[in-house]
Amino acid sequence: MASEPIVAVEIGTSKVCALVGEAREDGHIMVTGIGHCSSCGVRKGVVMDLEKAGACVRTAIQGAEQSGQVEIGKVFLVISGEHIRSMTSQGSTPVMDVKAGVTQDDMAQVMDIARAINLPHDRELLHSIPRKYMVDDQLVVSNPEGMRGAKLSLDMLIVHGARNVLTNAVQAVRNVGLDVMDVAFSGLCAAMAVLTPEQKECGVALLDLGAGTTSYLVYAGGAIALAGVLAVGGDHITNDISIGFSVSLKRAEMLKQEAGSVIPDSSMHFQRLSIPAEVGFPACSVAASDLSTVVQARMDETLQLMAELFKKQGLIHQLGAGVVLTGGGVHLKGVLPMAEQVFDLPCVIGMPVNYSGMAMASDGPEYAVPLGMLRYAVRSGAYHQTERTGWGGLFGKLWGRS
Amino acid sequence: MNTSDKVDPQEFTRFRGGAAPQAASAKRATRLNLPRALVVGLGNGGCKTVTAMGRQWKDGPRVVAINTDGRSLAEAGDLAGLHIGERVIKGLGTGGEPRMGRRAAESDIEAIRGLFRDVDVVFLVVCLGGGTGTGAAPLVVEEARKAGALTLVFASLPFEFEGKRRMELAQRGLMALQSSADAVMCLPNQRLFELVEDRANIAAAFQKTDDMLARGLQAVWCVISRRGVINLDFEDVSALVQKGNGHCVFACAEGTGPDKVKQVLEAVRHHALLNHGVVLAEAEAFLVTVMGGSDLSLKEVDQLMAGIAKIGRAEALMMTGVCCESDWQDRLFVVFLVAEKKGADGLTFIASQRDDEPGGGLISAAPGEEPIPEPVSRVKIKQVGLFDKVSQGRFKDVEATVVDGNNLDIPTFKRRGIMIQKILRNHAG
Repeated sequence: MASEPIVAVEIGTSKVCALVGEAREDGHIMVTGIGHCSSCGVRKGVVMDLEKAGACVRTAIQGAEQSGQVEIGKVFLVISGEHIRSMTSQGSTPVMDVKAGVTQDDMAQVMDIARAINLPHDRELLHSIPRKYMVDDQLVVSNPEGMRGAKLSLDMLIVHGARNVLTNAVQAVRNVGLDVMDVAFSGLCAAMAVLTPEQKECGVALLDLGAGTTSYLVYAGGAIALAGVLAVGGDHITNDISIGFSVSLKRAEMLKQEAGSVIPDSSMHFQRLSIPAEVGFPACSVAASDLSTVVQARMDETLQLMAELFKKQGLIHQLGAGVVLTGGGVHLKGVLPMAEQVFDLPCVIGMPVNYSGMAMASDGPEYAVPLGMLRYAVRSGAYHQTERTGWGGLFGKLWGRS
Repeated sequence: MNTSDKVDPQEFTRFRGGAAPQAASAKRATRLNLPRALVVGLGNGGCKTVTAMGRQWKDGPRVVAINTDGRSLAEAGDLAGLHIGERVIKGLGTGGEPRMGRRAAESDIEAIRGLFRDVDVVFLVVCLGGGTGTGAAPLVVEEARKAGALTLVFASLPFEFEGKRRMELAQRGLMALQSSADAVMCLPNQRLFELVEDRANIAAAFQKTDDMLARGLQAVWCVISRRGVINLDFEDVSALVQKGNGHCVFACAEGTGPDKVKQVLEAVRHHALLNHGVVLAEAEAFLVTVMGGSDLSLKEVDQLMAGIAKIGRAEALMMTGVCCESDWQDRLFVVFLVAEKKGADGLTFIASQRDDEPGGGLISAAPGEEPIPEPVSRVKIKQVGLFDKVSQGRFKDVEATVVDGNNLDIPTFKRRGIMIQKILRNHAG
């Protein structure tokens, strides 16, 4: 079943990426085109400059059109940034026909009720994800259809974001002449790309170590329990290096990529990393151990913040499958052992599951987010009822109202 | 300056005693499979220390005394000695001028270089503040490093009564050493005051310095050379020194009899060199070497380490080594190497001053004279205080990420008060 090509766009802090994919059997996704462009006008996952970001999107889309041999008019857009928060919401409704048990209609009804929360006027609902159903306040089930009871309650996770930030991101894409079909939270996308059903069942935390932000999504008790974004990412490491050693951001980035390590390796003592001279900058060198100290401090803090958050939410003991790391940040040397130490849990690097084509894209953890967006798009099309987004009619909500 | 005169290092013309020290050392080293080490005492203080050490430490590494003053070398007894700068100084002292010390070393650089052939580790003992030690030490260290040896410097800082000038010279010397040596252990003499009785004469006070330096050196040598039950090596020492950015102090404590563990812990808590345990309590990292007899029990080590861990900070990095001496009985000797918290007394940095002074610094030469060359890589140590002006770099124009009152856009290392070294090549030559 070769479907229509789907296009996912991520306006990241370091790169803008467009992927073209096709849905195959059993949820398999074939990547047929890829285009990317280093990012401008984006800070901490938020579009700051519509024009620059739009130009990057155009370049990325052109690349994807060329490599995928398609014409792109509609895209699915990934949303990130610290403005994204999650909360739980509950709703309950009497079961209409007690004898027949819970029906699809009841479920739809309770979902609408749970979703009908009053967000502040500057917030916009991104996702509403059913976590668990309760029948007569007792039985906790994931699918209550056909169950007998008088009352059906639903526990839902609401993911919401700042309206102006969302609007800006969408506008940047629209300015290039593309239609945005739907938007999705980057953490959710990453989870869809790399997490296996077993991991979700056991409880798992996903950390997407991006350039501008660190997105997180936690599955506990078989459902999403927490989602959000910490606006600290790889850019901060670069910035720290730049400030610490008084080097330009470009050189700091180079140092990070070439020698960035979070392990103060004893063999690196007294080793100096030299930076060649270039126009406007003399050659200089930094101590490798100091470099790793700076990187280590930042990474440690970021992971500690995450660990503290999970502890505060009482989730840390529910993570049977440990922590999965994705995003460009996993390329830092030693980040995995460090995460294991901080979380005291098994940690793995999340590789996209069930994707093929375009070796570069389907292998790398840094493409987890746009790859997940493809899957999200496929699912929201196919199972519109069960995996509703609330943004299913993005324009109906966002644009229709205005 | 006359440096063209060839001095054949093989001849060791200025050496007395220790006819073939290298051969002997090599033999010993292969037998025990130890790193080939050389202890160098530099300047008056350094020579005295190594002399004292050589006497009480029979099976230690090879010892060489280097000085500009021939008389002090004569006092060194049967130690190997190297008289430097004869042509420059003509047998007189340096007059407390580091510049002269440096010149002296430069004039005999070939002989100094010859010392470091086939040596793995060089311990340099120097009492900073004078002419020879302060001026020549960076050069000696550089030569040793060029020869491929690891360099560990034991430096004492002068007593306060010796005057401000000496202290300043010493601080500058210390900085130069920290930038060139692999590791610098520092002993601020002022802390020794408490160890010396009120009525002790000045000679006794200096004797104490010598003893302390000797013990510290012995301790580090033990750490490196002995194959302990729990082993530590030079890398651990360097890791420690890195942690303290070159600020390291050492202390020893001993206990005998049934309550030896208690004695040691008590001694640590009141140790003058550890500033009554404060240094240990605030340390970022410390290294503990436990030496005991063959009767040392696991329980004793456990008690000791638990006690030490209680004194130190919970998050401090603690490295432990344990070794047993077969001929000891009921005796416990514990050596502490502590990476001191920055800004502790007597160790304040004067880095900024140095760059600001346009040749007016005490170490820089008078106009017309050649300045003392800086070490190859010039190290600027950046100390970041809590109240420093904070920069956010590329995040200055976006909304700050604030979690629990912390602005996360400010580099973590700054907020955590971690010091790093900013290294720039010195192009001026």
